[in-house]
This record gives sequence, structure tokens and C-alpha cells, in this order.
Amino acid sequence: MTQIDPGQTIAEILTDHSERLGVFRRHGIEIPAHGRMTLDALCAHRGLDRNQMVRELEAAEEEAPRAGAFEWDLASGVVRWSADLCRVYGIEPGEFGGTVEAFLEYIPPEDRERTRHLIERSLEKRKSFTYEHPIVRRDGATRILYSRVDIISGDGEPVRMVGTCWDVTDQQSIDGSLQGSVSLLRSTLEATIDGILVVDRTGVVTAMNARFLTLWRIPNQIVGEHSDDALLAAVLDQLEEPERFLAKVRELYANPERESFDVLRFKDGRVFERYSRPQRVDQAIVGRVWSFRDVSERERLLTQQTFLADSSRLLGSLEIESALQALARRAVPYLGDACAIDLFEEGEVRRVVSYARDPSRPLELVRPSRVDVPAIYDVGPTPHLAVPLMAKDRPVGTLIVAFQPSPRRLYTRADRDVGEELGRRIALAIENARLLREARAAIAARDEFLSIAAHEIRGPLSSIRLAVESLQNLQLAPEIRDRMLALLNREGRRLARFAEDLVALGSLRAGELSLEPQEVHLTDAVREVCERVSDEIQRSGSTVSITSDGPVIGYWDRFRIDQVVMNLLSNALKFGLGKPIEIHVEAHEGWATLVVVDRGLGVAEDQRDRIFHPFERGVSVRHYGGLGLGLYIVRTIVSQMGGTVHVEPHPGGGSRFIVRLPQASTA
Amino acid sequence: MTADHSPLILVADDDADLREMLAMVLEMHDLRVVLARDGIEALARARSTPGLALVLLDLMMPGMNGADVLEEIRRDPRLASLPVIVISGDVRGSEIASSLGADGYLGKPLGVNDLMREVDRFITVRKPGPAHAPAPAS
Repeated sequence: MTQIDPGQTIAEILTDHSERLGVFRRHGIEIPAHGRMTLDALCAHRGLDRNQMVRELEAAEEEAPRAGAFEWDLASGVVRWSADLCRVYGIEPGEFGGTVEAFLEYIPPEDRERTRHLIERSLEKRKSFTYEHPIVRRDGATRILYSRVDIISGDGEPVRMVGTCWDVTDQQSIDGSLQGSVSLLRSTLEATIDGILVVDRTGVVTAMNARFLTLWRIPNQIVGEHSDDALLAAVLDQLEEPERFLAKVRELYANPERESFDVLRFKDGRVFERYSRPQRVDQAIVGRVWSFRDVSERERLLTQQTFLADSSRLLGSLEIESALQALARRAVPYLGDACAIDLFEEGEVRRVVSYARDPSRPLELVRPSRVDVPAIYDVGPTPHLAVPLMAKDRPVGTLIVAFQPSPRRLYTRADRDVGEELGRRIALAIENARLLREARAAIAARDEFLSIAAHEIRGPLSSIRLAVESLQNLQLAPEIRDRMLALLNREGRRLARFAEDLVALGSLRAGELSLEPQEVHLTDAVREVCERVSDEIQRSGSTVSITSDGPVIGYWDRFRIDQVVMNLLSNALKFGLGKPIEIHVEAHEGWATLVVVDRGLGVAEDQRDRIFHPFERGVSVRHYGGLGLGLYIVRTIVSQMGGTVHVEPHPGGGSRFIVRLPQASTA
Repeated sequence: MTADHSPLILVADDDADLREMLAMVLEMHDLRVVLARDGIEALARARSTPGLALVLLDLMMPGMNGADVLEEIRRDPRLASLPVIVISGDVRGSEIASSLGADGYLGKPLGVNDLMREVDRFITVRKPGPAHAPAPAS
């Protein structure tokens, strides 16, 4: 290899060793236009001593030359190519024609004009230039050359054109694959659902993907402005807490190595997760990558589930009215600015709950036209949502919510769905409360029944005990003894009837009443019952008279008719205060009527239906003993026969019990 | 059978058979008995019968119950000092009796001994007369 004389200027080196240009270039050295840098200056520039420099240059020469140099003497028109340049063009040194035209032969025809034009212009302007162009070698291969050309002048006129050409075809394919990598990264960036923003260490935006712009709803106009300030302003404007956003950004700029994660809440209800990490090249931090993910839907579902869970918890209380109050408070503001609950009770609508978020801005909650389906509707400017409270297939009430007219918020299908689910849960809670009330009432009634039953038994037992003890321990006069024995008999029958009543109660409740209809003469049946209890009638002090306009015949179950008559008569005897009792029987247009009149205490108006219910008494239990089953038994039997029974006051004091039965069978 | 100066007892109970039984037992012990079937009659008898020594009062009666009758008796200066024994089938009968200011309490089902022991607290009870001598112990 040719020795490099340290004292030579670069230009001289280049003239001799123009291939070195490629070496210099590969080492990142820019060659100044005049090329007057000495080797020493070069060494100083590179920070190497001469020996190192020389060794480097020698080592570089080992590499296959991918560059060559040329020189064009303008006066003579001769073009000289270095041996390397010939090899770049795929010819042997010496095979080159030595003219500009010979050079242009290697340029593809479509580029020749451009090349010629470039040469002429640079000569005119005496300016150095770089030029990238394809060549076609003699073997047909197309290569891309990158040339740096200098114009050497003398006495104000261009004298020579010198240049170096590099074969950069592979570099282009490296660039190409690099471009391919970049393209792959770019499409990945565009394909992700996260919005990505990259900033440098001063906060200037260096990259972003389209999703970022969509997520943040950045208008095209701001995108076009390329103004980071406008971009930031557009972002901050949408957030609930812009200061908190900025504080985080500042904190991270102060601490570039930190990763961050937080949640952004928007004024319009959207929710984003924000994540960032430093951007590194090798180990150095050059910026920050921000990534944004829209989790609004997930947040919405979470809020909805939390709301429904809270609602179920509140509805778990058995105090239903206070539970509904608490529920209405919870529903605001999630479902509306005001909430009301209406319940249907016995054909009427009652608003049991009404709650408003802001009492100073009252909202009238208007009922929907249909109460069996959920509905979204406007009442003037006020958006409403109403959902039915459905117990099985029957609406038992309505839940109504509404928003203030402004800021305008519309009810969505999602709102309607969660409302409908809430409506179901409320109805269930109401139903449960009702069942609990009924169960408690049934238990209370049972307990009262049991205590009354026990009490009812104690009366006859007292008589029995007194009689038995007397018979056992005392020597009784015969008539006394007979009276006691008769009494024991009566008490026995009394207890037996009581037991029958209990059995009847059981079968009536179970609905197992079976009827065996036969022809019955009602007047005769009444008379027989009176005879059966003649003792009781006598002891009561009452007289019983039976009247009728003629025979009354019906097709009925004889045993049940007896029960009806017996119970009505017992009732009259018990409450008749010893006054006369009248029984009247008649028939008219296929209906038989039985009337039992007593002149006792009478029944108060508000009790006239209650006394036919089991365990209910016409007067308080404190005043009366007994179970109050008799009238319940009467009504159940009579209803099952297709008839009716009711009580009216008897003028002058007492009661008229009126039974109407169809004479024909109703089976 | 009973002497005219035998003590007179008012028995008020709406259960006719029990009324009859109580009357029989008391009469066997040489006591005289006046009966009432409800509260109103009881009060009327108490006011109109001279020489009443004791009242046996059932709590549960139609019209006016035993509690109201007792209250009336206590309120009436002529009757206030009349001893009243309350009869009740209620489990809390004795509590109710004392809260009403009754002088004694009998719970149903009541037996002969219970009855006579209570009565004896207010009236000297003679042993049952010869016609009703106790049977020889067996």
C-alpha cells in the first residue's frame, strides 16, 4: 500500500489515494471542500495519533472497495477513473473510455439528460454537489451510486471537477429493511387500541398514532397546526381534574426514569387508563412514551354492578318502606336527579317514596302511560325513565327517575336495562315483605287460636273437675248426683263438638270440603237442630221460634246444612243475652233464604265482614271467650254451595244473619 | 236446706254449666248463691242484693267483662269493700287479678278444694252438711 506522507494535505492524499475518501466517510468524517486538512489535523480531529490513523487507514483498505474516485480535466476534456471506480463499474482498470460521454454510457438512458444538466449547472455555479444515481454495469446489474463532486477553480474559472462515488445499493437495501422495520413498527402502532404519544425530554411531541387522536377527539385543525400547546389545551379541556393531570406530567418530567399509571376521568363520563415509561436509546433516556386506554365501558359496568349490589343490600332490610327510601337516595344521582316509587294497592296508586338530589330545583316525576313495560320518555324538557316493579307477571308498582333538563342527559338502553333489573329486585323485596307480614300474621293468629282454644277447653274442664271431685269425695243426694252426671254428659258433648269444629277448621282450610247433596227440607233440618240443643236453649233463657211461608226444599249436603244451622244458632244463643231468637225460612225464584235473628249485642258496622273470618271476633277477645270459628265455618260452607251469608243490624237491637242458597245443586 | 243467715255469694260466669256446678258445690257447703250470666247482670245483682258476702267473678263475659265489673264495684262506695275472687282461664290470670285489685284468684280448671279454700279466706266455711258428708275414706 502506498505510504501516506503526514505532511501531505488531504487533497493530495485524495489525489493519490482517492479511495480513502470512502474510508473517511465510513468513519464519519466530513471532508471540507478545500481538502486542505493535513493528516495531523485529521488526527487531531479524530483524536488519534498518526500511527493509529495510519493503521486505521491501512485496515480500512483491507475492505473491499465500494467506492472510487474520478477526475475531469476541463481543459483537455479527459476523465480519469481510479482503479477502484473501474471495479465499481464492473470493468477492468484501463477499460474506461476516458470521456464524459463514456461515463454517460453507464447511466440509464432516462437519467442521462438529468445528469448532463446537473453537471452543466454545477460548472456554471461552481458549486459542489452530491448526487445519487443508478448505473447499469456492463454485466447488466443495476447499482445505485452516491457521488460527492467538487469543482476546483483556478484564476476564477473552473479547472477541474473531482469526485468520489460510493456504491450504496446494499445500504439502500439495508435502508430498505430498516424501512421495512420502521414500517412494521408503524403498522403495529396504528393497529393497537391504545393511543400512543411520544414526547422528547423537553415535552415536544415526536410521535403519535391515529388512535391517540381518535381517543382524545383531537380536531383535524389542531392536528394540522402541529402545535403542542393547542394539543395540550384540547386534552385538558376534556378532563375533570386538569391540574392533577398537569401535576403528574411535571412530576414525571422531573423524574424521567419513572414509570407511571393512573386513571383519567372526563367531564363527559369517559374514563381512560394512562400509562407511561421513558423512551430509551441504548441506555440513555431520550423522551417518554404515553399510552392511553379507554376503559369507560368497563368502568360503566363496574359502576352498574356496584349499584345493583348496593341496591340488593338495601332491599334486604325487612322494613320495606325505609328500605325503599334508602334505595331512592342511592339511585340518585346514578339513575337520575330525582327518584320516586309508586305502589299499586287495591286499585289505587300510592307514591311511597320521593327523593330529589337538589330540593331547591324540584322535579315533577310524571307517571308513564303504561306500567307493565320499561319506558324512556320526555315530559316537556325533562327526560324520564320508568320501570315496572314486576312480581311474577304482575306489576305491583313503578320506579320513576328523571334528570334535570340541563345539562342535557339522555337515558340510554343500558340505563333502561339496569332500571328493569332494579325494578325486579324491588318487586321481589316488596313481595318478601308482604309474605313475611302474612306469615307473622298467620303465626300470631295461630298463637291466638291456641291460647283461645286452651281457654275454651278450660271452661268445660272446670265443670268436669268440680263434678268428678264432688262425686268422688262427697256423699251426694241423689238429685244432686243426677244433675252432676247430666252435666258431665253435656260437657263431654260440648268438648266433642269443639273437637269437631277443630277438624272442620282443618278441612275447610285445606279446601277438602266434600259435599254429598241430597234432598233436604230446610224447615225440618232447622227444627231437628233446635231439638238437639234444646237443653242449651233452655239454659240460655232464650226462646227459639221457627217460622216459614211454606216448605223449602233444596238439594244440599245434609251434614253441612246442619253445621250451618248449628253454628248460627250457637252464635245467637251465645250473644243473644237470653232474649228471644227467631229463625225464618223461605224460598223465592230458586233461592232458599234462612234468617236467624237475635236481640243481643249486635255487630258493629266495621266488624260485619270481619266476624266471618277465622279467629276474628265481633268484639274484642277480652270481652268474649271462644274461637270465633262458627261464622267462618258457615261462610265457607255456604260459599262452596254457591250461596251467600251476611249480617245486618236488627232494628231495636241485635243481629239478623241472612243465608241465601240456591235450591238446585251447584255441583 | 241452708239457713237464712248463711253467707250469700254472687257467682258471675257466662258458662251456664259452670255456673250450675259452682252453685251446687257452694250450696253443698251450706252457702247461698246468687247467679249472673254476664257483667251487666253481675253489677245489677251486686247493687240490688243485700247481705252479699263475696263475689266470684269470671273475667271473660259478654257485654261487660269481669275487669270492668270489678272496677265499677271498687268505684261504688257501697260495694267497694265487697271481696271479689276472680276466675280466669288465662295463663296470666293471677297477674291480671292482682293488677285489677282482686282479693283472690282461681284458675280454670278449678277444683273443689281450690274453690273452698279461697272462699274460706273471706267466709267461714262450714264443713259440708250431714246430707253431704264426705264418703268414708277408702
